[in-house]
Amino acid sequence: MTTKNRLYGRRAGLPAIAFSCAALAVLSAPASAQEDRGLPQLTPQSIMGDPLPDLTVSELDRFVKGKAEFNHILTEAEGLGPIMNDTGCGQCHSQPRVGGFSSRAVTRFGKAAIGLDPFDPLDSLGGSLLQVTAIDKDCLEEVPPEATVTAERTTPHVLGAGLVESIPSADIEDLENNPPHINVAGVTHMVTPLEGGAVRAGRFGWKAQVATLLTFSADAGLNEMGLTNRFLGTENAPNGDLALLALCDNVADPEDGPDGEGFDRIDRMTDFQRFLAPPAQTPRSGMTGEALFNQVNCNACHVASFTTGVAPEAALSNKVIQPYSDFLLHDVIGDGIVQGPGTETKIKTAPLWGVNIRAGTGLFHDGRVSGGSAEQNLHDSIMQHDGEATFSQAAYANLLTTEQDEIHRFLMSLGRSEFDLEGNITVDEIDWFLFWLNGYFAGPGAGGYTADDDAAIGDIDEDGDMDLVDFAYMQRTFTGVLLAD
Amino acid sequence: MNRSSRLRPALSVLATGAALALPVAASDLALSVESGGSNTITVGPGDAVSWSVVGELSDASNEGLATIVFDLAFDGGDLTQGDTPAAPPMDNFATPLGLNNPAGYGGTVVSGDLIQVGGAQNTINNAFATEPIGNVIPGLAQPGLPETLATGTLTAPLDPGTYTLKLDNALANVIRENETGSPFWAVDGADIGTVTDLTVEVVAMTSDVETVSIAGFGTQVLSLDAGLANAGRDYLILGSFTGTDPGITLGTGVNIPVNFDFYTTLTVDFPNVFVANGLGTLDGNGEATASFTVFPGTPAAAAGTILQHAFILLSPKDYASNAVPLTLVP
Repeated sequence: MTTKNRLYGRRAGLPAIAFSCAALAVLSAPASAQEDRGLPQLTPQSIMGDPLPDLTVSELDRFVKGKAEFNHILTEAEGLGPIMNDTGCGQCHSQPRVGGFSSRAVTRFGKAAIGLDPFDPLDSLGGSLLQVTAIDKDCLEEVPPEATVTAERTTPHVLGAGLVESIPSADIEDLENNPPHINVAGVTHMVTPLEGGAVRAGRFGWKAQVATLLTFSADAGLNEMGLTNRFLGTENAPNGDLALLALCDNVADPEDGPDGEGFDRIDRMTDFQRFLAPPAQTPRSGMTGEALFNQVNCNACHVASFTTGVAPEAALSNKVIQPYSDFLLHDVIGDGIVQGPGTETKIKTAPLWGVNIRAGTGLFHDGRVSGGSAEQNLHDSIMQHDGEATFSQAAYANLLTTEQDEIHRFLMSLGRSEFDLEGNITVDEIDWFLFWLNGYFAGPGAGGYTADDDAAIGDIDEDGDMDLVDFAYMQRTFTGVLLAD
Repeated sequence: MNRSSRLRPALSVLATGAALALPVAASDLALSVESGGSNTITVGPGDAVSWSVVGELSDASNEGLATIVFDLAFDGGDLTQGDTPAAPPMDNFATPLGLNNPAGYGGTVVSGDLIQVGGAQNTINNAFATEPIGNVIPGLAQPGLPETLATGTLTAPLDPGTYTLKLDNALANVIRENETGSPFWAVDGADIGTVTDLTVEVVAMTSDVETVSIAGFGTQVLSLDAGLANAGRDYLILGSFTGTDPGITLGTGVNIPVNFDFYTTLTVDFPNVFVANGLGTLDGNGEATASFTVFPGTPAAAAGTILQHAFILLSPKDYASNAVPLTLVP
């Protein structure tokens, strides 16, 4: 270095002043400090099972307590039973983490319509939901001989459920009134929440029979676990037998009640679901497979995005979400059960966000498509679409195999977090090893990756490469090997 | 710094279970581009200028710096890649102990700019890939312990003027408070706080004094330096007593920062009379020395006059120095 500590004149004709370096530093600092020299901070998508990213401290506290309740194993003294399907929410909503899906199915039964006699859910015989276990084996339910139809329904995940709850009813209804394609005719399942309020579009449950998470929690509390609560205060009688109920039910109703902070169990369960982050989608957009998905009109029912309305919580308000569902009932593939407008042949458009986590285990409401690879199952599921979706299924069938594969690749992006190259719902050493091994970490300007490249899974800033900035975000999202919740 | 939200929920559910991190205040990382410990440096044309980037966190609500990335651009010319740290602790941010871009810790050179200087520590405790493989060093760049994050050298331009080595697009991670590295080091993003650039003043002519006495027939020594690239070229010093702005613009587009007046005529017509060695040849380093001495007969009333001198290179007249002032005092 040849620094010259000498007097000099300034070109602009300013007085020749021997500025001290310190003086200049003081003078220049405020000017430079006014600019933001940091890169815009990106918000990585959440790992499945994590809370929404922008909860307040209070909301995060409610999430944590809600998660504990969701995972809680209910005892008989606390209100479990006398008949139920399981002992806690987390027993079924468990994969890959609490709040997720499972292959665990519940059974619905009823008497199919014959002639002018409509479908009978056999309420008086404990229908239409079968509780498969009981506190006392004498109270065990069974599918009554009167039932002529049964259906299995697997456990969907509740990731992003608070955001779904926050979708304005009118936006769902609008898709019924203005269907995006002439061949589809979705039906809104309008329901009144147990907690009151206006009739609104249902969106939870395979028949879209529930509109709010509190109703969902109260309903599941009673019907899946036997927890009577402030909205549903009467136990289910085993196969409708009140005498048996009297014999087996030893806890006064309602069994649910407020904890020390004034929250009932169903409130806690609701909090957990409400504040659960939605499944990630990586790459966030731009995949060829999505263009093909739209080209064959899958998006006529699997509507990509909604914007949530104004909710009490900022974390749920005015958020653009991508559930890939219209939450309407369609004639696509039925289960023979009727719930309101959810007739025998109608089923709610399954939200596809997070479909990657169950593609390898079982698809459709009853998990009927399983046994193959995730991609094969996805293919088979699409091919099984019927009714209103026949035109779209046919268009898909006419695609080249390579194009179908692109759609499968897109579907496998629904639920994948950034940097989860391995696709196992963690960001760990193996993911980094794979990025490194494949040479994806090539530095700024190197790569030219598109959304269709696997390397794009590591390109969180979507600038076409994987570089040190991306790695910095990988560090932030790193989970290591996640242990069980 | 003024950001809309200083609170950031820490999202990761730790591998040990459901221990959710509550929202924490983000730390700010102040960055300073320096040379010799200062944000302003005065150098001659073509000089080599070493630079360093120093970082310091605003608070200790973390376990120190985990990752640093930034761009550097110099408006005085193209930059060459910065240095690769060879000693602790910063070698822990460079491949293979840490991780930098494949082009190097000193940045990827793109159109004369350095893109993504810096690196990351092995907070993920990688053990499969061959990089990063180091053990994390906590506690770096904590308040009161500024850390030199990167170093390098640039070449000052030949033309006199004020130039800036500007730092931009910074991104930093800090190790989360109370982390111990098992099974890995969780990190959070840090905000970028105050950034102070390096100002590089390039001067081709300097002087030993700012004032000379009329009565004492004082002398101002002028040091000329047009850089090695102009070694051996002829020069001419021009003067003015009417200032520097707008100066004299030659047909070549070069602006000589002295206003044309009677004294200018004298320095041109009698180049070695009013300014000794006012017309000469630069030596092998592109340097020369000249001097102005108050000439006999200068009236005392001239006190307060400010003379300006600057030089141009000849054949061709493609280079002009900065002006150097001289105030006449009684």
